[in-house]
Formats: sequence, C-alpha cells, structure tokens
Amino acid sequence: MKNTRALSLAGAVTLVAALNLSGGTALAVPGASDPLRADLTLDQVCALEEVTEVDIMTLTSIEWEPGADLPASITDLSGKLVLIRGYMHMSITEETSRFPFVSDACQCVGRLMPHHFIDVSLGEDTTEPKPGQFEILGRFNVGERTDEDGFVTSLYRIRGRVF
Amino acid sequence: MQPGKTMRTAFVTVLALVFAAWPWRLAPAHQEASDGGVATEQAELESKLDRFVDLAMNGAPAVRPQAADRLTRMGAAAAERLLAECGEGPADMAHLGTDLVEVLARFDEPRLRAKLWEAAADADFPWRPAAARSLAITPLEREREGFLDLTQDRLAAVRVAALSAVGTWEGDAGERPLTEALRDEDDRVRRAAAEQLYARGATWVLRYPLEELSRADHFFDIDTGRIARFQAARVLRGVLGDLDGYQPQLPPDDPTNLAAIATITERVRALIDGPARELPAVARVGEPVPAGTIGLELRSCRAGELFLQWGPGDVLYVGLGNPRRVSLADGHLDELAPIAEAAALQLGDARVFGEPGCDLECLRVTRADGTVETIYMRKGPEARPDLRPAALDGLMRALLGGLPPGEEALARRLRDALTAVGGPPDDSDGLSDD
Repeated sequence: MKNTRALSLAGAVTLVAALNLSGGTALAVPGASDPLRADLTLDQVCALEEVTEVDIMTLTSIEWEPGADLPASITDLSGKLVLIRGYMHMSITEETSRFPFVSDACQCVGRLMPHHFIDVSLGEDTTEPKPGQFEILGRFNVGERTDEDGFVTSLYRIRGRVF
Repeated sequence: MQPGKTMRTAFVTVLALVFAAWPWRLAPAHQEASDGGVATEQAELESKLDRFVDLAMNGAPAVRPQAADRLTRMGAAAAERLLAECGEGPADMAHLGTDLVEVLARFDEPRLRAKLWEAAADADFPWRPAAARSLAITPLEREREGFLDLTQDRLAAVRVAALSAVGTWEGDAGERPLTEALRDEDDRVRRAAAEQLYARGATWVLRYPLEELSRADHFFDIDTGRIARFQAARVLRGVLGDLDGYQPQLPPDDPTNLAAIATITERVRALIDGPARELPAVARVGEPVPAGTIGLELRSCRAGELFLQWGPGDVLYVGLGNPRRVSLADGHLDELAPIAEAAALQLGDARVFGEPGCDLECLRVTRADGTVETIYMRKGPEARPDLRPAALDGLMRALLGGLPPGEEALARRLRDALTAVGGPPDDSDGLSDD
C-alpha cells in the first residue's frame, strides 16, 4: 500500500495518498470522481478522497446495548470513507451482495449482537463466501437500524467494495 | 369409504359439534365475550411465540439473540414451547441453535435446566459453550461437581463459562480452580480467571492483563497479539478507568503505547498488595516466533481449538501467544516442505472445501517465494469424514508421524481435531484411546 499514516483517532488512522515524485503509480485518474469505483487502487482512491483506516475491534469490542450511546470516536466516522480488515460471517453460504463483516475468523462460540459486526452492502456487486481475512473499502454509516419487531438489525454499515 | 358410512360419520360429527357447543349456548353473554377475549389473547401469544422462536432459530444472525432474549420475557408459555422444541435429547435440541440454547436457563425452569446439563455433557452437542454459559448465569449449589468438570473441558469457551460459576463459590472451593485456570493454555480462560480472582480481592492477578498489553504475536495472518491487547485493555479499563492513552490497535512498541504501558504498570503496582508472584510461561510475552512454514488452525465446536506452526529450525510451535516449543527431528521441515507444496499444487486452484460452519480446518503453506497458500475445510455440526481432499492425506500423515516421542498427548489431540473436522487423517478409525 503506497500511503502514509497520519492523524491517529481512537482506532482510526487516516490514509493520505503518498507523494509519488518518482513518477511510479499515477494517482490522478481522468474521469474518475467516484472513489468507490471498482477499478481504482488504494492510492487512486486516496487521491480522490481521504480514507480512514479503522480497526474493526475498536467497533466490535465496545460495551453496548440497544438504545445506548456510542463513543464519539465511532460516531465521528459516520459518512467517512473507511478501510476495514475483517472476516465474512460464517452464516454466508452463497454468493451475496450483503454480509455481516466480523473481527474473528471463527464465530463458533458467541452471540452475534449488532455491535459485533458491520453490515456490508456491495450494491450491484456480489461476492462468493470468503473464508479468510480481507478488506472492505466504503462509506461508513453509524446508528441503530431496527426492524418491524423493534430488533436492532445493524449498528454499523458500509456501502462499498471488497478491496 | 362407503356412502352409508360417510353419512353416518357426518351425522355423528354434527351431533358432536352440537353437544360441544351446547354449554356455551347456555353461558351468559359476558362470559362468552370474556372467553372470546381469552381465546384471542391465547392466539396472539401463540403467534408471537411462533414468530420469535422462528426468528431466534432462522432470523438474521443479529436478530437471533435479540429474539431469544424477547422470549425470556414471555415467561412460562415460552418455557413450555421451548421445552417442547428441545425434544427427547441433545440431538433433537441441537436444532434450536446457539442463541436459544444460550437463554434456556433464564426461564428458571428445572426441566430446561436438566436439558442444558444433558447437552453440556454430550460431546457431540454443537452448542456446548452456549449451554455452559446459560447454566453459569444462575449456578446451583448441587451443580458444583458438574461445573468443576466443565473447568477441565476441551473447549476453552466452556471452561470460561464454568469459571464464572466457580467464581461464585466462597473460599478455597472457588479460589483453587480459578488459580489453576491462570495456567490455562488459552488466554481467554486465563483472563476470565484473573477477572474472577480480582473480584475476590486478589490484586496481583492484574499482572496478567498488564502483561498482555505488550503482546505482538501473530499466527500467520491472524494478529493474535492485537486481539489480546484489546481484551486486556477492556479488563484493565474496568479496574483503572482511563488507560493513559494506550491504544490496543497500535503495536506495543509504538511510542504512545510504550509511554502508556509504563504509566499503567506503575498504577497497577500501586494497587497490588502482598508478595509479587511469577507469571507462568504461557502467560508471558515470549520471544517472537519466526514466520511459519506450515500452519494448522483447527477450530471445532466439538473438539476444541488447536494452533500448530511448523517453523524454521525444525521447531513446532503449539498454541498462541507464547507457544510451547517442540523440537522435531533434524531436517524434518525440509522433508515436509515439498510434501506440502506438492499437495497445494495438486489441489489446483481449489482452496475452499465444504460449507461455512462451526468447524474449521485451515492449512497454511508458505511457498519458497514467501507467499502463503491457505486451504480451508469447513463444515457445520454434521459429520463429513470425506471433507479433506485426498491430496492432503499424505501431508497430514507426515505432520502426525513427525511428532517426536513424548508428544503422544499432542498427537492424540491433533488426530482427534483433524478427525472432527476434515475426517480421519490416517488409517486409524479416528477414535482416540481415551
């Protein structure tokens, strides 16, 4: 990854496009204004918009219950373009455009509460079930979403792409 | 059916309905309305039970635990429904799923509690950690022996649950198993024991999470040290409050964390009364482990977890954090490497076998160019003796066969774990001696 790390938030590091004076990777992409375009490298994304690298455990290891306030360090991330590393939840067994993204390879032993995962939406794209660690780049959204029964269906959401 | 018989059957049915309805015809109007209301309420209750049981079993993963919690607020009717859902034994009960099993003891219903103990005692029940956690919420005096057995369970998550029950026992009865658990191979168990002991007034155990703030270990691509730092920071935050700028997501040698750890160490020292005690080797930050050549990550909801890393210098590293070192025969790794590479090649592009579930066998092979091939075998609670591709059989036999004399317990454990996930790794029937 050609980027520098700066501005350390609680669990978040902003990635800034590296100055590429040697003329190696071209950062400017003519016609590309959408940082989530599937063909962009991270450097190219960073050239278009600031990317914040977030440690998934800073999101999933908090104490939380429905109705509780979230730390400002998390709510401040809402709307930002983020890069997060984690695992696809094992409940996903088929090609999908939406999946829970979790911090642990094996979700064998615990209950999946809303603060334990990120609800990832790939929009029109899909992905096969992925067994190992991978990264998601996308727009972060924070706040309780509830269904008709009053159950919280998600707390963290990302609309983006598998990186 | 003959026409005459049909007529007679219809007449008898109508007569039965008339007689059945007769008493209600005589009932006062207000009772009729009241009974109608009761019937409606009952129907609504049944409908809610149907819905929440279904959601707790088949809903979105995040909704399941919340639906299970909702059922616990519906009292006796929900308890009866779940009792019926439990069926005859653990094999029937497994279909409830982990989220419903987790809440069963909260109904305070002895029959459900008995079902949970039956499930916890069944090595084939896939949700034993949930059963143990449920039971441990309200441990009963007569269950001490059962919980003591669970502190020795092969699943770390079950041992953690048992410790929370043991923590409620006064005096030596509780303190002894908790202190023993401080030597557990799994950091989650040691952390749980330290938390329980601290709650009982043992301040020196704060050295356990304090040490973990400096962990930087990895198992191949899994940042195990980072995960431990987050958990240790959570424990210490509960005791100290603010952690002086410590950030678990940053490496321990980051200047911010170095300064924070120094300050936290002083604060912990000030809290500790009594003599200093040594941490066991398993709980200490050890020498860095060189990048592994072959790795086996085995996680089974029945057989437990096992992490093995065959590394340079013919050393096998057993476990995570500060793993136990086992010396292998000279040149063993040189023999293994081509077998592993050949196996990976023979698989072609296929790297994932089976369906996601609570059992995982993950083989990592580092190639000569430094890239790591990762092969996943996954399955749910059902047995899949043929899950592991035949191309890997030779490698598995070589890994097992290369364990040195004196490591019979490890060999048995490895064979059991491999058998539980991918199937028997060798010509044995997959059954261990014990």
